[in-house]
Amino acid sequence: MKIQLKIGDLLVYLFMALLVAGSFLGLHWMKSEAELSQVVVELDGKVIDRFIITEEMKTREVRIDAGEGKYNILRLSAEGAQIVEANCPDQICVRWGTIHIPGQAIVCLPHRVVVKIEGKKGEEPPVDVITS
Amino acid sequence: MQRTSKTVLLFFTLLSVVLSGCAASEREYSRVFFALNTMISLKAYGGAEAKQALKQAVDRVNEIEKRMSATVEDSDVSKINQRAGEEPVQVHDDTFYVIEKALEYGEKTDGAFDITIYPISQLWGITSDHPRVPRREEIEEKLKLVNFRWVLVDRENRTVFLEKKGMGIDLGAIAKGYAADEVTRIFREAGVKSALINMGGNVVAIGNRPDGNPWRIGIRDPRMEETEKEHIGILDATDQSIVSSGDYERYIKKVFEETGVRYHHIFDPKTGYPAQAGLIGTTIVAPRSIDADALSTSLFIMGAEKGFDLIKTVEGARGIAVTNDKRILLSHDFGQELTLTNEEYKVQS
Repeated sequence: MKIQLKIGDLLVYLFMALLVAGSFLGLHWMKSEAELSQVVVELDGKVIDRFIITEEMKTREVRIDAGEGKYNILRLSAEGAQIVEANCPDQICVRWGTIHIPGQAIVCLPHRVVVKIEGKKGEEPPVDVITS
Repeated sequence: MQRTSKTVLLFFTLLSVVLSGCAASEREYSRVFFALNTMISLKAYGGAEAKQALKQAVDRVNEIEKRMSATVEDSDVSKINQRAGEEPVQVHDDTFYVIEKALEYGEKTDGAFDITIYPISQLWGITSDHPRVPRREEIEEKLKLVNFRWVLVDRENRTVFLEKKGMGIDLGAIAKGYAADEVTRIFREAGVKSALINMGGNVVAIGNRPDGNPWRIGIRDPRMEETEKEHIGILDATDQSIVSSGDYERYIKKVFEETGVRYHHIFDPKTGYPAQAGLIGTTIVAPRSIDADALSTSLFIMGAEKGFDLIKTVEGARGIAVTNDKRILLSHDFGQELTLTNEEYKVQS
């Protein structure tokens, strides 16, 4: 009985060790492999915000303020960018779905907001902000 | 059996700790608004403290604008200008601090950085709806009103006096830096560990990105319309301010299209004309934004050689200069922090 218990313990410990090691390795691997892409938000044709999307990122939501109380809620995740809520009359941007391929864009005409994905290979690497 | 179940329990407890760590609820709180004649974007990451700090920061920036903008009629700066040659004006502590700091840079740069340039910038009106190239005599006339040594400050009474009638000051080349430092202070005091401040291109990176990596700051390509690239390179920044200046931001577009000459908004106080020191863009990386702001303008006016000497006198400050023949000069070795990605420019060490 005693020996069996110890084997049970051992197995659990071993499993834990593997899991921990695996997750570290996995994270490390994901970090080096993570394809960075750039999400650019434009209002009235001017870049007002930009974000970096990575495969390891946490999902987060960002409010785009289009002035006069108009807003779009942008969800950024490893899957890409998506507008999940907006107070525009047509709601086209909300039904647009998730974009993730460079060149793709979501357009909210009533708010004059464009969300697009940049970062094709050979193009500029993505950044959090640009000085001027 | 009991021991096994205990071990299993321990395992799941540990597992849940690990998983919840992954899903920690760090939210982004952000605000975009206009102040200090530019678009300001503040992003703070964290919980309730970040939300609260953000609100406070917006109020503080608006307060600074009310006191220091030359276009707000009853600001400290407007009052000083209105009473030029007449009487000293009592101002708020923060206005006084910024003016003293600006005069300090006037001394340090031997007048290359001069807040009394206002009559000249008004004459050209580069940022107005009707910019024009003035006649030489007009410029010479207004140049007689430009000298930072004629700004008299009284520390005890917190007053500022412009000695000559017609003089004027403009804190546009330094107030944004001060405001960025104030927002940084508010965020830090509130315990915000990750934030990004962007005041019309004056950037402060606070802490690291929420994912733990340094912020990736693109350094503006001064000729983006030619090169079709937005930045010349990327700076990995943690707790740094990054400010760029250049001839590309504001210039008389109509004259440029007709003649190819770029009359821009950074004036040389010695000539009254847009500065021509062989540079098209400058970037300063420094611990404090007020220094980065003043230094980027100074470097642009003074040129790389004198400008880099100046930068070396400010602790922690480093400079990047782009010349008009598309070379990139560095005041210090940036090491791996700086990745220059743009092949249109040659890096010279």
